[in-house]
Amino acid sequence: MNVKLLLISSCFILLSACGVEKQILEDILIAEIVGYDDVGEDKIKGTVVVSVPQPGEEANLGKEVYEAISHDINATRQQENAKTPFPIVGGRLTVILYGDELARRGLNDYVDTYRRDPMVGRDLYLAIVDGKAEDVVRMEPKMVRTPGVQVKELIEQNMRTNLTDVDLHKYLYASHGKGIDPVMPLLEKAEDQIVVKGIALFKRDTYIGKYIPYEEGFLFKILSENFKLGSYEIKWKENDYTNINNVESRVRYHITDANRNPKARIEVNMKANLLEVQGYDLNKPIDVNKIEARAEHILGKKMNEMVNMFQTYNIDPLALGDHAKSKTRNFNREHWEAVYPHIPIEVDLNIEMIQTGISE
Amino acid sequence: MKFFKGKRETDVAAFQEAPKDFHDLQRKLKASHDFHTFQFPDEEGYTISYFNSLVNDQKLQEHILAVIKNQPMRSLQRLKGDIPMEASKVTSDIVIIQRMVMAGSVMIQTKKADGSCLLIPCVHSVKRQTSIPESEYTVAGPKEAFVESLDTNLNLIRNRLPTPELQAREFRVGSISQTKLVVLYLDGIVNQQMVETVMQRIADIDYDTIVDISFVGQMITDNRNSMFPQLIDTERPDHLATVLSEGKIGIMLDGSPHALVGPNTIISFFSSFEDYLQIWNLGTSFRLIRLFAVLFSIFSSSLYVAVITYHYQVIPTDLLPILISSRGVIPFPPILEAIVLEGTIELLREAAVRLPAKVGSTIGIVGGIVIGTAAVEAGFVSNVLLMLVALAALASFTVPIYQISNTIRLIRFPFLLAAQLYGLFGLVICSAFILSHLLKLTSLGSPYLEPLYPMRFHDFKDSLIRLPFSKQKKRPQFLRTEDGIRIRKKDEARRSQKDIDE
Repeated sequence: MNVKLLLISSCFILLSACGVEKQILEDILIAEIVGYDDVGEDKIKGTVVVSVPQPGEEANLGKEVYEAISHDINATRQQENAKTPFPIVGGRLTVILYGDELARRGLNDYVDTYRRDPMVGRDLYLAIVDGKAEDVVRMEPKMVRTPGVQVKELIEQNMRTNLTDVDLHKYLYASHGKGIDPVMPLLEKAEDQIVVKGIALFKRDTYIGKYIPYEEGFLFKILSENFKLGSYEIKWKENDYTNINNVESRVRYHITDANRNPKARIEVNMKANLLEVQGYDLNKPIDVNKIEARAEHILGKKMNEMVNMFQTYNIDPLALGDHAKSKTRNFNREHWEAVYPHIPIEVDLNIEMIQTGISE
Repeated sequence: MKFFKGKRETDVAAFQEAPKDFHDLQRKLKASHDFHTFQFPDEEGYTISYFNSLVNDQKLQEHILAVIKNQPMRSLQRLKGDIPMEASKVTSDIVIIQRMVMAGSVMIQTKKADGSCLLIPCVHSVKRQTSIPESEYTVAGPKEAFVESLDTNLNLIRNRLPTPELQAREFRVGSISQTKLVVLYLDGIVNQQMVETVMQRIADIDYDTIVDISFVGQMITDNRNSMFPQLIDTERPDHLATVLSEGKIGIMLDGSPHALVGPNTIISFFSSFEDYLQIWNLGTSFRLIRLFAVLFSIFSSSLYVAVITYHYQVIPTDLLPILISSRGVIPFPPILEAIVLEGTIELLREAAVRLPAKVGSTIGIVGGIVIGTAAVEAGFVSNVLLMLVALAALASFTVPIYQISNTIRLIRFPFLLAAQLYGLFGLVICSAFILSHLLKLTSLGSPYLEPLYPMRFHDFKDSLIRLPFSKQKKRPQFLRTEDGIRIRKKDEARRSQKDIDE
């Protein structure tokens, strides 16, 4: 009994120093959004927004911007800490922005620290800013509290319709995987607003300077994943436009003979409804099949152009190489990479109008 | 057990030094002012002596003195036949004389000092009327509660279970108090081994005065150092009757308005009797709500401390500004803040229990409004924590059994300390300690965490959930009953045919 007691009490005494580092909520500065820009001479400039508690009854959060210039991200963090009363912590970081010049140099070195830091969650968004990342970080948002939340909610909202699912986890998989290239949202500061400009295209970790415009993002999303929202405007005739609304779309990749003479067919089945039809007399019954055929033709052509553009730049954001590998025994990667820009890729789009609204 | 076994002797009455002879006994008795001795009907008549405080005056006059007066002097044996009182006795055994006189008998002697006397029980006892249950109040259901008199309590039970299988074994406990104790069970259903265990443990009790059943509960329980009660204290005869027919054992003590029930699982401490009084789906939902409330009550303040001190990452974005701004002005670290507030709540609870009911409500006002608001305004505690602690206190009041609600009150503090030391990891460690303790715990030899561990699927029908009565075909497995079947009829298929179809 006494030995037991001694053991227990010595445990308490010996383990009392084995504490964990305390991070009491009000004694830290929680970084919300951070932006990195190229400033030349191999240096980067980090700009971070932290929320600062405002004492008082109401739950108001002020914000404070700190910046630092250094060679790597951790050093900028250190320098920022030199200016703050409390340590800046990154555990609640929601968005990391990179200026497009930095992105053109390759992002691996600047994502690395977020990959290794256990404090950083994986559900954080990466985005490219057309221009300086600092400009977006320093914005004073109107509706939402801080630019961090603003950008996060902007990306999340658009991910439902026009952006593919992009977070740190997906980016790391795509940029390090073989036969797959990442994409990122491309943001832009337009006067006093933050705008999604499109989807930035990457070769490995390097921004190639091309992007898919925001409207076409819907087509890219249809090509890359199954989803249930979004709409697209089709030009019908001169001054007549039709808006089709995606109810459910499914995509399947068929890749044959990948080791010798590869052929790829991307099969997209889409159920849609018509939301807006111009240039049709609504009193006559609308020929749904005609609209379907026309929409298939127009959308299919755009998708084919998009896929050909990927081949021209030798990037693979649709992960065709990855799919080919998963379907082919003894997959020959070098051969695939050599022939990828020239293989025939066919987009096979089937649209089924399941609802056309009220007509007489 | 060891502690009490030390000086055990076979005769429970052995503490009281048996008086050497009759004169010694008389000398002791006469030392009390309420011991009356007189000659009746005249100087040559019987010597009648009794404790005025124990004897019913009316009975004494109508049934004893009246009979004696109307008759000539006779021997004690003849007199015994003349007086129509049950259980009277002629004896010269000093020990029996002493016991019966102390229990309210009238002692009658003749002039012949041969030491034998006639003892006529003529007890006057103060009894309280049965009243409504207070600590286990239910809105629906019977409104009777046990009282201090064992006879009344047994009457309440026998009325509910009119069967000779209901057996009551009597014991005397307490070397001075000689309190009557009864072990109740339904023969043919209960596991005899459990009855033997209980009776053996009761026989082992050695203490001078046992005034309440909770004394017995603490002495016969499996683990006497555990904060978790293993025997349920109930004041409802309907509750006792129900669990007796399940195959549990009840223990009642004279002078205590509660009965002990065992063996129990931890779930039975969170199930109110009201769960059975309403339809099963409602009963199940409210039982689950209660279990959730208990978990919330234990973990809320320690989770707050852990999250605020170590894990800012897990706070949802929309909650962050609220938390930061409420914490911003507080000069203390979260742990001190939590201990101050929990301590205040404990003070309030303790004060409210000690004070008479009329003043008690004032305490609620003083505590809730004045202290709470003032503490927040003075910047001592954050209003988020105030809300959490108040909710936790409220949640702990949903527990139907008083003993375990005290456990829940106290168990929060180790969790608080663990949260301060190691954050969520500390909470997990502390939970592991308590879980392993619960795993080891037994109640009258049956596992405490049943049916969760050991996993007994059949017993889930009345544990976390309560299924309808038609599904309660078998008695709980952990009771190891001799007759495990409750419903003998096969099915209810006939019912639909019997119903009137319009």
